[in-house]
Amino acid sequence: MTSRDTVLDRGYGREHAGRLWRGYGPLASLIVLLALPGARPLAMASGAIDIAVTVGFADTFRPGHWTPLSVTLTNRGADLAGALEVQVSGDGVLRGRPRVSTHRRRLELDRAARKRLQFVVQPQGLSRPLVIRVRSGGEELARTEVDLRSRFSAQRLLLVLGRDADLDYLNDGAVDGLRVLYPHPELLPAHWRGYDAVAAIVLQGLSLDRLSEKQFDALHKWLAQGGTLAVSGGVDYALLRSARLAALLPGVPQGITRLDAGALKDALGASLEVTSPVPVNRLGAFRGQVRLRAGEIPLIVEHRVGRGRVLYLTFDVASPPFDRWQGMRALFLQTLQLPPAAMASLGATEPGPVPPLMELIRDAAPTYPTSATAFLFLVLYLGLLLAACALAARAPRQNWLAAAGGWAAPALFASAAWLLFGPGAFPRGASAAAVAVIEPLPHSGYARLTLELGMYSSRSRALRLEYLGVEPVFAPHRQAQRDGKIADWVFGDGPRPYAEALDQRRYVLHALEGEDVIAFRLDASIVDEAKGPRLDLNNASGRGLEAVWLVFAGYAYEVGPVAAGARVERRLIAATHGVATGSASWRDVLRTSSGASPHLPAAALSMVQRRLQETSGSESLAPGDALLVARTSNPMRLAGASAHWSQQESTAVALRIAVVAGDSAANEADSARADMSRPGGPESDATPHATVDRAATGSH
Amino acid sequence: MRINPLVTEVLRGLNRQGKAQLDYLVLLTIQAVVLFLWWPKSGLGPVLESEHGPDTLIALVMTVGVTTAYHALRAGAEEYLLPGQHGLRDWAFATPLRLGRIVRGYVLGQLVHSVHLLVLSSPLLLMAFTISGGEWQALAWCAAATLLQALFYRLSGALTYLVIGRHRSECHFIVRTILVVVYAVVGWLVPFTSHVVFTTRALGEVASAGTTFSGIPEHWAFVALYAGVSMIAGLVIYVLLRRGRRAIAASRGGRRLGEAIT
Repeated sequence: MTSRDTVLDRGYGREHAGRLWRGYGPLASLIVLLALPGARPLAMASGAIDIAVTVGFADTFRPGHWTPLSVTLTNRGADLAGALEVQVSGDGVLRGRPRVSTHRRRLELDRAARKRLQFVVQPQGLSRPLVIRVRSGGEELARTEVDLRSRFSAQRLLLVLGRDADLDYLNDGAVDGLRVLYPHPELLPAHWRGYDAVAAIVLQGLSLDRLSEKQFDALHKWLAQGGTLAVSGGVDYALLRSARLAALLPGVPQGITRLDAGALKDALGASLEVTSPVPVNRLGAFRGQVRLRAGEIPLIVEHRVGRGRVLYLTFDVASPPFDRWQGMRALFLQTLQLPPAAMASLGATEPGPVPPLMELIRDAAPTYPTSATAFLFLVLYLGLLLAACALAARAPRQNWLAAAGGWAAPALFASAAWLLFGPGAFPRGASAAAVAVIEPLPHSGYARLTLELGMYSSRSRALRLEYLGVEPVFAPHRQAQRDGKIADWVFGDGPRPYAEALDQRRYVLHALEGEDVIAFRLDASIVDEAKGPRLDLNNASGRGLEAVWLVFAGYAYEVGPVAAGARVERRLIAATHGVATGSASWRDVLRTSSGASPHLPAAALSMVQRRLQETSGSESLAPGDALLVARTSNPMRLAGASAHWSQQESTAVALRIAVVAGDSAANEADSARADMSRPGGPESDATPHATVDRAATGSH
Repeated sequence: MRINPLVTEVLRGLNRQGKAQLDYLVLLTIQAVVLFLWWPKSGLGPVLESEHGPDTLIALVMTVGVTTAYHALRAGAEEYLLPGQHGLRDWAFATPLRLGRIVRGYVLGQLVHSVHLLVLSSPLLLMAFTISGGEWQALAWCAAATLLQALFYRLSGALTYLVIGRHRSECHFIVRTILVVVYAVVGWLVPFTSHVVFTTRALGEVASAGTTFSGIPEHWAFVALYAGVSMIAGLVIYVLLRRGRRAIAASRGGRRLGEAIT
């Protein structure tokens, strides 16, 4: 601008400029006109779409763990149809290039509209920012980068969903400590894995009705697979009677009762400064165990939901005298009983045996026709050609023999080659392989689904696997991470989610590990009797179970198939029904045993074994534990363009059961009946079914 | 439209039995041996672990390329002819056909012959193709490259025969030297002229469309190069045959060719 102004200020400059305009003006105008349609994306990119991002809870996340990410978009331009992408770069600098996972979601945003979309992502490191893009028609319309270095916490997170609770006294900067956060309930994750870094949630003065259906479902699933929810009571106890909370709490408050200071001091300690009666919630019948009581009044009641716990504190933690009490921190920590901090969920450092996925592919995938088949085919073909040549040479006038050898034989054998070595024996195109283990979470109606998913193709192409039935979070397979074969992925959300490998090479196994919590109810109890175990199995999972086996006390018992909705009671006698496992692994026995039922798939058994190792530190069962293993169908179904892919799958159900001794079972049952007759006594947790609760795995 | 008599002769020759078929049967056996040697011995699991598919198709297409080229070179040098087929000199110097038609027929006949050789190899190619992966399009490009390369070698052989054909041993030596020099030395020095490189790139792990120094995609460059060089070779053959005809006509006192044929 400055230089042009300088030129125009001079007389000869004006004349020169006029000549220029006459010469090139029309052309410049034409160029400007032609460029106008293309200028729209630029205008949009320069500020037509605002992107606001919240990482984790209250803009704080824990590296290496899955975390929610909320993106709020405001459209100040024209109507928009495109996609929102969140690009997460993992650590991989030492291997030359970090892997990039892109989470993509369809986006339709009208003019002057605002929309919030939530993702669950797993930031691996801090050095690379998250990149959020809005794209349409192959163009980037808006982009922002989120610096993670100022938003992380090394400690586990404790979320407080409260009206006026201040639990900052629980903050602890130690590695194993806690970081207290106060997120807005509306920003809670819509997928259970978003709570990966959360140690516990404290709810005070709020109901869960503000959560969306998906958010509540996510919270419930997180609880079922090992989360801890502490609910504070108070004078506004009507909140706790809402349907959602009532479904989780040990019991519904019936009203308020006033607890005198002396009884409270007796229960909590003399350090509690209290002089007047304190209001606490009055419970009717409840399920669960009383962890703390003042006289006959329960102060803290615990109820198990799957592998998780719901703690009901019948007093208001945010009201006097508890809000000022020095002992509240110790009481909370004692009540929450948080396990030691776990490492990132999908470790990739330790070497391991052959991954179950590869085992499945080796066992079940179609393999190449043998060399002998190829040899035989070649000999036949060349032999036929030679024979045709020889015959034609002997009978030179029989031209059809040479023609048959020269044209018909190749045509015939070409067709045969295609059929024999092609689609029939070795299908071309894309294939998918999935190994899954379903671990029922007792008394929750849920099960944890762990799966290994692989896709490959004999052609060079981008592979996009569309699926239905589950909503797992995916991470690159640990074997791929260990081998440094890390590919870039795109994960799409929506009515038909997909995982797309961006590496287009053929004969490359693109492998993922996924986790989900699915609706699945399977209850079992085992009583150890003199001659063998007595099994009571209730299959309310909606899926048939095939090849059910029970492993207990050095024996494997074949139970057979159990149909969906069936209840089975079996007295199994070790001498008659049992197959002694001896010193061999139960896995080998189950895989090779020649029972009436079909065998259990080896790949799924390997995965069960690995899950046992991961959760209990040993592949073998502890004394007093039994393992129920069965074969079922994979809840993840290929859909859309992937539905016609060649497919191999192997899915097992694994339920670890704490066995009750015959006599003690009777005693406990009697005891339970006695407790149930008492108002406020424990309910289901003391029944023999409750002993089933030690399922195959822990929370992580 | 009249069918070129040279093409008709090739079509008839292909449907008769002779030395050419037996010769190619030997080459087909070589292809079969290569196919068998490169046939995957392990299952799919190890292949996926190594992230490297079988090279069977690449090895076979390379073999088909070199065997077809060798066969075409020998055919061009008239080391053998199809049953009932006449040599190029016979057509040029003993018939009144126009030289342009003869050369066109010669080229078309060679292409038909090469297509027949590919048909004979097709069961082997399909066997390899089913297990090796790769695209139909890439396979088609390789087939086209093989045909054009064979044409080039056929014309090179014909040129050699026209120039030194009367000395059989020298001709025998030179056609093999041409094969080695063009296939190995030139291919190594100028990779985009190499059928081996072409096949590797077209059927390799990642179908890569490299470009030459001039920015043309390599597969187009290969095809254009061999088509161009074949055209030049065809022109040279045309010129040589015309000179030969003139020389013969001059020696016969200006009588037209073909008049001597009874």
